[in-house]
Amino acid sequence: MTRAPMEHSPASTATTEVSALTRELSLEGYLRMVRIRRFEEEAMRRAMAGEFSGMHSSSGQEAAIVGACLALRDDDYITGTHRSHGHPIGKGADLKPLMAELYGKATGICKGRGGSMHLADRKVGIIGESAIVGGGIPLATGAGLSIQVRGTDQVSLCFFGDGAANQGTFGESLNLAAIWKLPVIFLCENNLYAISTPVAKSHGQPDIALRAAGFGLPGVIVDGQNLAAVYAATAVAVSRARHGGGPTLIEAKTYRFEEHCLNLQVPIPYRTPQELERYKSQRDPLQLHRQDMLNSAIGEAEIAAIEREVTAEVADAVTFARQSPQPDASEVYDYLFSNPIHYPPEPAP
Amino acid sequence: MALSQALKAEAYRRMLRIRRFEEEGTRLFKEGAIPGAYHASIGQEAAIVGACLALNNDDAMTGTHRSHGHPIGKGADLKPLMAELMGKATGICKGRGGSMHLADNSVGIVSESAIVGGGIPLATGVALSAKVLKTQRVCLCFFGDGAVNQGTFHESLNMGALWRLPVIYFCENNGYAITTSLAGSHGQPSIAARAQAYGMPGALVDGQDVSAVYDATCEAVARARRAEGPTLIEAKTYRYDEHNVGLLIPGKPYRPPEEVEEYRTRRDPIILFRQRLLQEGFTEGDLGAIEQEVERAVEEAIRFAAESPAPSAESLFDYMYSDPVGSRGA
Repeated sequence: MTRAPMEHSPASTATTEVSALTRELSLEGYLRMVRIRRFEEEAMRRAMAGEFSGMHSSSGQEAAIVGACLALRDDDYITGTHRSHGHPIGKGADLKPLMAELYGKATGICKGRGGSMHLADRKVGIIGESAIVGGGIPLATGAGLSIQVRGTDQVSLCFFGDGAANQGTFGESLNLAAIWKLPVIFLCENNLYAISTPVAKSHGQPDIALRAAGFGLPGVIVDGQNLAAVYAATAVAVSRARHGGGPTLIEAKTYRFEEHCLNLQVPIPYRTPQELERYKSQRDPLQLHRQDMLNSAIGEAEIAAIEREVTAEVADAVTFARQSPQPDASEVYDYLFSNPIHYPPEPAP
Repeated sequence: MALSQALKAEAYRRMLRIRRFEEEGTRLFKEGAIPGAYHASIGQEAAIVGACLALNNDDAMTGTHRSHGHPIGKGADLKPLMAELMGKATGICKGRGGSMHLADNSVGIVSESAIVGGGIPLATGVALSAKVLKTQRVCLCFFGDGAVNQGTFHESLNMGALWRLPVIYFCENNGYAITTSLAGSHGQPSIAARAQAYGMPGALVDGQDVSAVYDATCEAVARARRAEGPTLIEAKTYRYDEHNVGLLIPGKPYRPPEEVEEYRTRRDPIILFRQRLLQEGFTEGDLGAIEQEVERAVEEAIRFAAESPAPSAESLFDYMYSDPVGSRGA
């Protein structure tokens, strides 16, 4: 496999042996990665044109997301973060209600109430995203506890970033999951920067996976730009979780191609243009996987067909979102409570 | 650095001061002379005193809910401590702190906190202050095995390591968070092993051996003073009494009576150290003199506290703010 970039710690190369993806998974993985990339690029353009407000793009992190999601079943749970359009797409969500949600439309996956940072697509097991940094970690742990109590063989996968690893919720949740052997996969998308704060300036030591040992669970470092490597590591963790072996912490060393969020101007340069350019040109997960597919006798025509299909899907999603109605003003109090308090009294008969 | 003869005598004196203070405090609590709740440090004296002896008088310290032993270990006067437990005006916090919120600034105690894990970020902040002010001060942070599972532990140790702060994270692991055993609450049993997550050394020490605790803490203090950052020390110790005095734990016992008996008779830090002192040049007379001196000090503290007045009703609103709101411009 390709050597991991120098900005990450040298431990990035210490990945477990990567088993090749099946042809089917390889194509499906590429489809989902391209969906994320095109969805995010188009959403950025639409947001900059003022069609909806801000967003956090997952461009550059597709392999970490999709590799992890491919190892899950549809009924497995995931939790997300503030940077969370990629997670539902990776888990197989329909793009139309996702795009409509970004537009705040009534046809959105959360009827326009969630928006970019609070999406939840239950159909593909997403129980919640949380814009609170580290907020999803205890939620995913709770979902793992629910699975254990109900005695199903589901698992819960928790996405979070390198910044969240320094929140107290991380320490508390990993300890609980380890002691109760909960079926949780803690997947850190370490993209090196918490907004503009590098890992080197915020972590006592650079490898988040090394934190696992202190809580008594395995910690695995994986090249987050390599779809097959992330899939392989997650599949091992999922199998362990499904068979009562407890949680695993996976650290996927990845990189964010855009700024932390749309329209954010960081006055102090926290990463060099050369570093960004090197990732985009040499470490783009889509390009790396495309090349892997060509090397494994998947033809250019098949790959190009996927790319055309996705371009059409994203265009359809935008059209759907634009043409959808706004939520009706009369519904403003709906969905606030599962069993509303102060509900209007029944009209007298 | 091994304990000098003078420090050995001081270690024995301070351990005994904690033991006798707590025994008498327990009695007074049961008699109704001390309000609130009473958490005794009996059994944990070597962990406390071994750590405190490695500090200078002006080094800082933070405590827990079980925190009469910490000021005594740091060298505090017993009189205002006992008066504080009784809620008297002569108490070290003028009767406002009580058992769980003592702070004796004269021996560097910044604060105790009854919030489990609450002292860990405070100690980290004190160490940051020492670094910013470029003093040689270090901060010793006491906490228990239960506090290790609080998010504050995780957040503070990461910051302490990252900024190389002069702090010693000192865990008195007495095996039980009230009734929850370590095995029932920690993903793996070694608290010291958690240090590697943050890139700092973790040391395991026998908390019933005062000189072993002293040695380990001296090393951590030296490291902190050299600006090389924090150390996590796990002292394996044991609590003889229930979590707090008078607490009745219903149902199945959480620890076997034989275990308590084993510690009281064979692993008692004071008995063990007394035997060692007799082998290392101290006579029965030397030790007897220390014992009598401690006895007198505890008696005097009780008398002082009992004879002291309660805070006056007029002083009720005093000391609530360092610069009272509304006190100016009248």
